Amino acid sequence: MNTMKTLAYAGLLSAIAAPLWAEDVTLRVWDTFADQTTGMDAFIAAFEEANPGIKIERDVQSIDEMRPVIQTALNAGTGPDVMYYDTGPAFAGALAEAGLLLPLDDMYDGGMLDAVYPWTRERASFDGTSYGIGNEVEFLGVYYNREMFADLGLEVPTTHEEFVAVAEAIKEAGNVPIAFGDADGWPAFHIFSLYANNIVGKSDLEAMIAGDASWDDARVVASIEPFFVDMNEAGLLAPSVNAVNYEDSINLFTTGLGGMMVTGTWLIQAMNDSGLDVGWFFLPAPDGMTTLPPAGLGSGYFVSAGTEHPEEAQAFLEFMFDPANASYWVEGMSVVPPYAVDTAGMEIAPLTAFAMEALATVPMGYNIDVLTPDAFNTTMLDGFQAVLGGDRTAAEQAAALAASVE
Amino acid sequence: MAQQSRRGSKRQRAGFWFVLPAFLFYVAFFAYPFLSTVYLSMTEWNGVGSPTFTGLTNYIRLVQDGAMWSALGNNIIWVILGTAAPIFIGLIISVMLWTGTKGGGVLRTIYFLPMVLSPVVIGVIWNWIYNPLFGLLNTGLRNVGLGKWAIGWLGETETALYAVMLTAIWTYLGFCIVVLYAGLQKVDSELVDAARIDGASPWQRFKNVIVPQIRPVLTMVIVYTVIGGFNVFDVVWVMTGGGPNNSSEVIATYTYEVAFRNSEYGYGATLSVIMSVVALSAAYAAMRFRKAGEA
Repeated sequence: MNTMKTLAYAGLLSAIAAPLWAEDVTLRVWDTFADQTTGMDAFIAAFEEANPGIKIERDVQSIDEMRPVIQTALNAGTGPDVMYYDTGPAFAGALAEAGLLLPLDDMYDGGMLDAVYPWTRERASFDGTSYGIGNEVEFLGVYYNREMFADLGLEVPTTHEEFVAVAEAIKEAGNVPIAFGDADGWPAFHIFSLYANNIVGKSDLEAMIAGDASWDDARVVASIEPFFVDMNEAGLLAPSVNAVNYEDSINLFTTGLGGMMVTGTWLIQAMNDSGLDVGWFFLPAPDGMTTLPPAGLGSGYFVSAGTEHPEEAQAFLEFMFDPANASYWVEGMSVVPPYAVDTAGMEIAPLTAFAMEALATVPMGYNIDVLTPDAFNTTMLDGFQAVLGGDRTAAEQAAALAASVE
Repeated sequence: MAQQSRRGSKRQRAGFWFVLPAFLFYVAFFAYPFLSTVYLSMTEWNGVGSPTFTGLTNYIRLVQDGAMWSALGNNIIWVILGTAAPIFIGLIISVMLWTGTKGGGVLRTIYFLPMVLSPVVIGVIWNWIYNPLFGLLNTGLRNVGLGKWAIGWLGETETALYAVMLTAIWTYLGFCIVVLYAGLQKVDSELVDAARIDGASPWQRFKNVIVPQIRPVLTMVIVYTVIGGFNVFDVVWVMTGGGPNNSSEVIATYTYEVAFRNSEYGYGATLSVIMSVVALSAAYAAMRFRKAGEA
């Protein structure tokens, strides 16, 4: 009899509680913030606290892990509700074309994302529809070891000629001037972007990216030669440059063996954590030309078209991109969000502060690889390794780049 | 008679039900994916939406694709060296172990150890060994006065493929030793002794008495290695990704790049079909060659 009573109470309790539990929604979120996972966990905890009915099930992956499976997962209905993915036309664009992403125009037009820079909306829009919210505003430049510069009496270079002279001085002192390795292939993309912006110029580079002008151009050759040929042959990069991967390059720099590292602002957190006194300058253009640092978006948030919880997903994105929550990005993760941030009262590292200020004040160019098709990027990947290995000339690489998009 | 026929028919039906699960498994996990791949190989598809049928266009492209021929050339080098080296070295070591080397059991375990490691782990470990900045190999070379040989083994187009292959040979050697050693257990030692009494040299005993008796095992190892040589992917992908400048690219890494980096799933399927055909043909040829040798 007691058992019957217990069962009856349990049934009654379930009947009362079920509607309450039914209101709880779990959103599956895939992101790539492996290096900033503590900061992102704190961000998500704040969201869950502000939205008691919504739980976030977070899955952290590298972008290389996510790319091959995201399409299949979304098609099969086993993918995420919200994903942090490449904003490029070959990535999120392909998902949008296949109808796998939820349009977010209502969010933009409804005023939920008014603070977001319009240009970042454009980068996450395809065929006139906005599908994502671009994030991690990044730009490329040069980290340098302040202590080493001070010890060697070096000044931050203002022209490319001075940059080479600084590298030679570091080499003479027995250090690796530029901690650059290209075993992964993609670090060369950024070097090319830096030189092409400085030498080709913004408008002509824009025409090349759009396919309105050929890459087989003397200025493109001039953008390849200084770093990939001249500085490499002069021993100013990491030894056996094609055998050194990106992680080793970072280690080379952060352990104080390398004087400079040419890469992007996504490493600010790692630099801040390294304990090294790290400074930053933009890769200077050759004398008489204008320095134009390339900028772009890291990735962006997108919502699956198949999600059963579109309102909750939008609430999550609204929270993530509410300027009132900027400190989670800036202080917690050293990530620059896609809107103007009031840093007053924030405790941010000097490098992060510099990046925030630079984005607001310095004219920026294009980070080429996020805007070009796969075939072009593959030609960059293989071709720059060939140039570094002495198997291809700068002119041949420029011609190959042009051929890849013809 | 009719009763016997009914019993036979009943047995056949029972046999059918026993075979059915394995047959369905085969259809679901081999026949269907294989036929789907063949169909995909005749389409253009970026991985989303519906594939567009293009007939033999991908196969025509494949014939004209220099990168594919370069990768296939690397596979052939891999098959030849990657088959010959571990089998040759493995045969010598297994015969030494078989002839009663002290501590043979321990040595067999040590030789076999790399086989139980994940290829990814092996790739990472050997990446450290080859690392041009702090790698064991270059540090050793510098310490013995051979600093000029301390190069970026995985970063030079001339050495990358062979450096990766050496890793694979090291991994595969243990398998060859264990299998060949097992085969040697069936060798009739009386025949070896008789040959010795007849004045046969160690090489003659090895070549004319021992090897003929382990031919089936040898054939199995060769076929296994040849197929593995055409399908090799993991160790290459982890160590060089096919670079630098495609110098260590093999068909499997090229296929992966085409399909998953360039989102050309149709052409990727074409490469997969060709890879399967080439591997099976080579394995069949190896078996026929061994059988011809036995006749």
